[in-house]
Amino acid sequence: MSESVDFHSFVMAASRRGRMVVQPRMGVPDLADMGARLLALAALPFPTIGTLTVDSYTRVGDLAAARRALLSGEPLNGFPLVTHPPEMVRAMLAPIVDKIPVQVRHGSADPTAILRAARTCGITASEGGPVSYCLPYSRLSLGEATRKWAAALQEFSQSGTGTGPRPHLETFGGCMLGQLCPPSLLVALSILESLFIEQNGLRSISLSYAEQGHSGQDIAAIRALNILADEHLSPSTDWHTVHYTFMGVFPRTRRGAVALMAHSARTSRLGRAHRLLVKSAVEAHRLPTLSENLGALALAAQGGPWQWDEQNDHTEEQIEYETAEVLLEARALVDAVRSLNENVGTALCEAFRRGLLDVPYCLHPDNAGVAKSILDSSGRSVWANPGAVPVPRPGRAITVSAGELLSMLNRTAAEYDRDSGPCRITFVGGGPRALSVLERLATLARGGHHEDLRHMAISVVEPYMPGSGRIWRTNQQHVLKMNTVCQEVTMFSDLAVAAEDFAGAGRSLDQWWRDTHPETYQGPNGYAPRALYGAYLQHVWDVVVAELRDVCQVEVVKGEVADIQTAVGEYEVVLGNGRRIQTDAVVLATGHPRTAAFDNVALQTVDWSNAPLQGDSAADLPIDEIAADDEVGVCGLGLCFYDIVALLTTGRGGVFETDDERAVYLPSGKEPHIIGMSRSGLPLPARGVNQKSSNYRYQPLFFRRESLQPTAGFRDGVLRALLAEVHVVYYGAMLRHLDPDLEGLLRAWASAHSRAAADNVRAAAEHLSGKALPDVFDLHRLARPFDGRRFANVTTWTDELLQVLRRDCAEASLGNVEGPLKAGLDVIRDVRGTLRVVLESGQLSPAERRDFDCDVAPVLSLLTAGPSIDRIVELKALIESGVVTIAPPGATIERQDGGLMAIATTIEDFAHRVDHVIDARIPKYVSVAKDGALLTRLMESGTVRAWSQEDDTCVYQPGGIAIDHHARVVMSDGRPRAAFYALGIPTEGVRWFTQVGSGRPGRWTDYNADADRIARALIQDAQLAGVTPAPEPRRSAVASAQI
Amino acid sequence: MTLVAVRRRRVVLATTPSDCHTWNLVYLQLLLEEANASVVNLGPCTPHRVVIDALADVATDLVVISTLNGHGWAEGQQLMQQIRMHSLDHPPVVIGGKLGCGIASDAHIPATLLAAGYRAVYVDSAIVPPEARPTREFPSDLRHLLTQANEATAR
Repeated sequence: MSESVDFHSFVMAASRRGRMVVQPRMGVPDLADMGARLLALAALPFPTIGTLTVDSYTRVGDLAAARRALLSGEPLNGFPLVTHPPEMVRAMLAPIVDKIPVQVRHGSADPTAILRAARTCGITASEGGPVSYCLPYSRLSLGEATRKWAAALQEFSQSGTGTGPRPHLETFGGCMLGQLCPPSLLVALSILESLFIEQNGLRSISLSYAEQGHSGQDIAAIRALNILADEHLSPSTDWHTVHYTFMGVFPRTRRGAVALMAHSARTSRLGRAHRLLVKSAVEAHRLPTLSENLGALALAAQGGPWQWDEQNDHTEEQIEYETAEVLLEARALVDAVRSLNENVGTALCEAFRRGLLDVPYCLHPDNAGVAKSILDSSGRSVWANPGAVPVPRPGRAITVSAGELLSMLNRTAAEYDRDSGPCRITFVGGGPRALSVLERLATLARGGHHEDLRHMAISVVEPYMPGSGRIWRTNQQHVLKMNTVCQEVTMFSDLAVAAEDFAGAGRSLDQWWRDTHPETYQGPNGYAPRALYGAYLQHVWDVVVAELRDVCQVEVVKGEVADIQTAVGEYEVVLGNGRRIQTDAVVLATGHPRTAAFDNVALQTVDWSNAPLQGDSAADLPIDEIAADDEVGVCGLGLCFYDIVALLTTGRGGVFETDDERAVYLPSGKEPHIIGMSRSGLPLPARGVNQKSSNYRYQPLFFRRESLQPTAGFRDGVLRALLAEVHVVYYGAMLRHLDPDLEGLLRAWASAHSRAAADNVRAAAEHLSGKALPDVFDLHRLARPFDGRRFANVTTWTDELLQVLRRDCAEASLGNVEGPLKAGLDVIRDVRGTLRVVLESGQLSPAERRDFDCDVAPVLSLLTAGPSIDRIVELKALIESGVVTIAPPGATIERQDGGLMAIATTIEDFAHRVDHVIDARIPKYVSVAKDGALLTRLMESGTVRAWSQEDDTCVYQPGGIAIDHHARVVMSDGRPRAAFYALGIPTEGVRWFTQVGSGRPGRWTDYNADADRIARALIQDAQLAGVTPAPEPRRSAVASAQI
Repeated sequence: MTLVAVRRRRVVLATTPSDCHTWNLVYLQLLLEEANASVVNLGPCTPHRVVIDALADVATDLVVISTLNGHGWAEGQQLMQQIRMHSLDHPPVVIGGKLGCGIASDAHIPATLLAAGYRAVYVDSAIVPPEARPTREFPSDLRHLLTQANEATAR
């Protein structure tokens, strides 16, 4: 077995080669993990010392708790040195200690057990001291700690074997509370503790000094420490000095932290310290990972990419002057203490008793607690009131207020953070989703994150209109309506509704509409024109952005993003015009893609290359190209179909004349003939007239998260409960009309039979009412009422269709609470949040998810997402007036004789020539193959990857991109990308039902939660703003600057 | 003419047994003294016993527990159990700092500690969402509590 390395000799050998040794703080509970980390240190190409930092249970001597945690796997914040079997620790250390020395770091006022365990495990280096590990943290008396330390050191000093490495101890006296201590006191305490260590038998010692924040003073202090160690320690004692990188409040930004780390390494070199204990860039936030530790060590060892700031630079002459000052005070302190007693331990205790040594702000009862220190205007740590400490007194007594103390403690961090430059954040897309994140940012700025926001610089790239985006842009016709009643729509996330609009609280769409456009306002259940919602969104945008601009820079860039490229530590957002935006964080909020027509399976076989019109959102269709009396085939009978019909009828001057029951259409003469067609032949049915207030909350009986069993299969474990819920509402409304008490009885029965199926609900309802009730309704039959039917001719088909529409109007007008059918269906909207939780839980197999997406979701959407009842009444009138023809189920378009024909195979005489074909189906998913260049490009380059779900039997990859649970996009190798977030439509798949474009008043919905998650992550990114070497000037960057 | 004698409020300031941070205690002592309170600072790693004894010792108007090491959510509950075990008539106790380990379940901490019997909980965490935060702002609320104690006992 090869020889273990001697601690001091290792440091001095490096020093002779002109290298400063670096060392991390590092401790994890697991043996193998600890070994792997130490091996990684041993493999570094610069001289590094290994550290075993013990956990806090071991530190305070609670070995039972350490053992319990180790056995139960409960997290420990260090290595439980005393608890692991010594032979296993030895085996773990064997491949390391012949390459680099390993030191145990702890913090214990009574080090007996730790030093003994270290020795048993073959570790010969540790640290601490009777003062430095007692006064700041422990409740042990100073006398007791001194006795324990003396005994433990004497035992430890016997552990040398003559030829092997010598026992080594490092003073911790150069730290004391981490910050706000005059350097002369730190130097004196370090010297006194080294003398104590020497007196108790050790001949290999290091003396510490912890950086206080003023580099000139710190350099001077390390030099003074070197000088005094040489004067006081015996010539036969080997010693070196160790510098601790700043141990007070650390900069929160990554750039600030790295700058401080780099400056600290420079201070060590100029002070002539032999060794440096480093901190990592995440110091202010958490324990570093191995790679963060390695990065910090490399920075410290090799000198970082710091820019030496002139202001902090010092001439050699200034440093010498400052060194002399520290020396003078420190020497007086050491001499005063040594004169008290030959025994350094006794002298130390006596000195503290008399107040000759008095650590400012130390709460220990054995510390006099009279002396106070401050940071002066230059940032030097000086005495405000030395008490009985034998140093020159300041001219006048200075008292420190709580606020002053806080700002002194934060001074170093604040200086470095201020210099670190803003965190650049770029939003790709400026529609409602981007707005939702900005609104949360502005709200969080109000709620205590003001400082974090000040470190942001936000860019929003939006090709259309900021706030409303393309879908809700304000220059679309008012005949295009929303399909959510206005009282259910808000963009303000907070629970309170305020009279005045500001980030966090403000008017809902309902209130805003009433206030700003009273002439068109239709009450809380009115359906607002999309353009009006766009205007509302733009209003909220103005409010939010104005607030943000009080705090940070917000730039709105008109343009389309063509690509997002990854660079070292940052991203580059490339615009269509070639401009490049360098950014630290990206928020992908692109919203609805512009679709390529007919990428659906059923219609793909037809060649559409010559079709005059292609599908998109209705507002984006070149609708003016359609002439009066043209024949227009519209594929899809959903919301988009109603929009197109509105644009081509009332949008062209037609009007409806309505009485109570029905409407009659009076054409303008500019209408084309519209042929609507779909697989089912059923135009989207109406949503029941809203009878729920905006704060209505449904209490489910069956469809509760805790009673669902996705693992039992989606249809059995989830859908069954949904259907039961629908039925209990359906029959409940029915019973209510017979006898108001019966509904309560049914719900009481249901809550006692929470696993019942829909059939049981009907049986119970029939039992309660004592009469037969209408058949259980089948969602598929409601969605496909014409399945399997054949019609003799167009007239019989149209009659039947009109009858279905009439029935639908009747049901819808009963309302979504009082009308059994619409109330039953509307509950599906009410429990959508729970359904989303199930879908996003990952408990469904890929085949089940596909089943849901392809067969269940379209039915649910068809039956619940309907337009207002007016649209159905109007459609009936249009069919009756001959302006619109609905093709029977299964109609398709065929090319015949160079033209296009709409043909239905279920009726012999249905064949219409069409001049235009419009694809009015909104695709469920972003199509990977055909969607807008950006997502495709990002997937091709591996910047993001497609969401997919797979098991042994099935790979399901419907479209959207993958994100992790922090909303970060996932790279092609499966790891999340730092500071790159996505929300809304592009994430459909991982998330479900992302087309929702607004929050609900008085509720914290998923829409708010998604935005909040990203806003908080951005705040964290701003705190940790990535340190990057200054980017190389690029040709294109120069070019864009000239634009 | 009426003479109003306002006794200086006595505040017991402490942390939890496993927490060796002290700057927070130094800062709070100054802050409370500036609000004209007399402060008994029990120092780092305060054993529960020491808090109980301090309360038994002299009439106390307010107990302030400050902790930063992430175990406050657990040790804070234990402390409150102990206090309640010894006296049903204890002065109001408030707790604040970094009370959890920065994980998602931190969101429940304020409610849990309030339910345990704390008068106020001041959280310093990015994890706790706004809706789970008590509507109390530190340090103005702490000053307010002191004032309340003054008014309640002023003769």
